[in-house]
Amino acid sequence: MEDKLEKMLKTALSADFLPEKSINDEILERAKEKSIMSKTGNKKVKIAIIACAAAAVCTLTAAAAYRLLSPSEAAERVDNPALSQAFEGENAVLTGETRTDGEYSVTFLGAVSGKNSNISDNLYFLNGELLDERTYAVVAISRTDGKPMEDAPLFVSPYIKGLDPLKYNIATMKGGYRGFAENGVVYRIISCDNIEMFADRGLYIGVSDADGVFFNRDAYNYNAETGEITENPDFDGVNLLFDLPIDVSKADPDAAAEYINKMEIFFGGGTDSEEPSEGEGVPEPEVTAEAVSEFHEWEQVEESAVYVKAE
Amino acid sequence: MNRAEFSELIEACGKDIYSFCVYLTQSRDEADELYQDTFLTAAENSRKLDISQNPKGWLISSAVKLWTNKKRKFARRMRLALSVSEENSGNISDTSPCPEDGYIEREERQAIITAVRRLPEKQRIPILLYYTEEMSVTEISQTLGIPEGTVKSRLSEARKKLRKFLEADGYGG
Repeated sequence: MEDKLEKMLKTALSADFLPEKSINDEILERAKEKSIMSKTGNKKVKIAIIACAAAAVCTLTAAAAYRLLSPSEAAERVDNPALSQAFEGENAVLTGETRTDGEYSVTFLGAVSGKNSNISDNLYFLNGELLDERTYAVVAISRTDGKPMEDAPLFVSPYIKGLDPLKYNIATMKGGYRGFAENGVVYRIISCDNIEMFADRGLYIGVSDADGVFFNRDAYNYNAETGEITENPDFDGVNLLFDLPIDVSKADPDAAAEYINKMEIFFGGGTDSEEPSEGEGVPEPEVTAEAVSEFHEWEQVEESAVYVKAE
Repeated sequence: MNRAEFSELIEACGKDIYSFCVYLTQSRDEADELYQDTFLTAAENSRKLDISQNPKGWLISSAVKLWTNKKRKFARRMRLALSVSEENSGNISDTSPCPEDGYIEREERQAIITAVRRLPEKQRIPILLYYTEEMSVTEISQTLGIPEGTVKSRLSEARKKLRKFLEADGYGG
C-alpha cells in the first residue's frame, strides 16, 4: 500500500491545472492600473541587497550575525498568521527591552491580548471549555557567550501585582507555550488567560530558572502587604522580571474580582477575596498539585499540537 | 520588476501556482481569485521578490497566507466552521484536463482528491506542496516557515490518514 499510495498521490495530485489566459491578462492589467510594476526592473534593489549582504559578512561575527525577530515574525514561525497580524495591530504592546542575567540575555519583545478568535488561528480548549480570552507574550533568549541555543530551560510567565506568583502564574492561568530556535536564539510565545483586566494593578513578564518545568518559588519575592513582586537577589539562577505596560484603561476590576474568586475556589480556599488579611500572610497553595496536574495536561495538549485550527 | 519580468514570472510559475490554488481552495472560482491575488501581491512586493532566487516558493507562501487570512476573516464574519460548501464537491475532477483517462482512473483520482480534501489544512498544505509542487521537505519547511521535523511529521500523519480513508473506500491493498 505504501508504494501504491505514493504513486496514486503523485498521479492524482499532479499540477495539471492551467489558468485561463484571460486571468493572466487581467493580472497584468490590474498590476499596471495600480502602477505596482516599475519601468526599469529592480536592478538597483538587487545591487543594494548584495552590497548589504557583503557588508554583513564583513562586519558581523557568525554568532552575532542576526537580528531578533519581531513578535509578529515569531508568530509567523509557529504558523499563526492571525497572531502575527495581531502583533502588528494597535492593541499590541511592543517593548524590546533586553536584560542579561548570568549566561542568558533575554529580550521581552511584546504582548497582545484579546478575544482569541480575533487574535489567533489556534483555538484552545481545556476539558472541553473554549478558552477564548487570551494574552500572548513573546520573549527571545540567547546566550551571552554567543553560543547558539536550541532550547532554554527557563520558566516564562506573566505575574500580577498583588497576587502571589506561586498561585498566579502561567501554570495556573491555563497557559502554555510554543517555542522554536532561529539563528541560535530561542523564542517563546506564551499564552494564558487574558490578564488585561488586571492592568491597573501592574503586570510583569518573568523569565526564571524553573523548578523542574514549573514555577520556582525561590526566584521572586512576594510582599503580601504591598503586593510587590521583585527579583530575589539571593536566588542562584536566572530571575528576570519585565514590566508589561498594558494600558490601564483596559483594566476591569469587576471581571478581575470574579476571576480571582473562581481561582480561589479552584485552589480550595472558597473565599470571595484573595487578599490576605493583615498579619495573615500568604496562604499556602493547598491544591498546587492539582494546578500542576492541570498545567501538565495542558502542556501535553500544546506539545502534541492537538488544538483546533479555526477554519 | 517591470512588465516583461512580471509576465515572465507568470509564464514560468503560473501553472504550478494555479494547480496549487485549485487543490488548496477546492474550487475553480476560489482558485481564480487566489491565483490573481497571489500574483498581484507579488507585483506589490516586487522589491522583495528576486526572480532569480526562488519565486515559486515565495508565491506559494504568499498564496497560503492569503488563503489562511481569507478563511479566517470569513469564519469570523460568518461564524461558520467550513468555508467550502458541498456545492463545490466535484469541481476539481469536473474541470480536470484528463479526458483521456479511463473511468476507473478518474474514479480513483476523485477518491484521492476527496481524501486529501478531508485532511486538516495543516496536513493538506504540505501534502500538496510535496506531491503537486514536488517540493522537498527542506523547501516546504522554508516556504511555510516551519521546522523540517514538523513537515515530516505532518506528511507522515497525512499519509496515515489518506491510507485509512482510501482503504475505507476500497482503494487499499
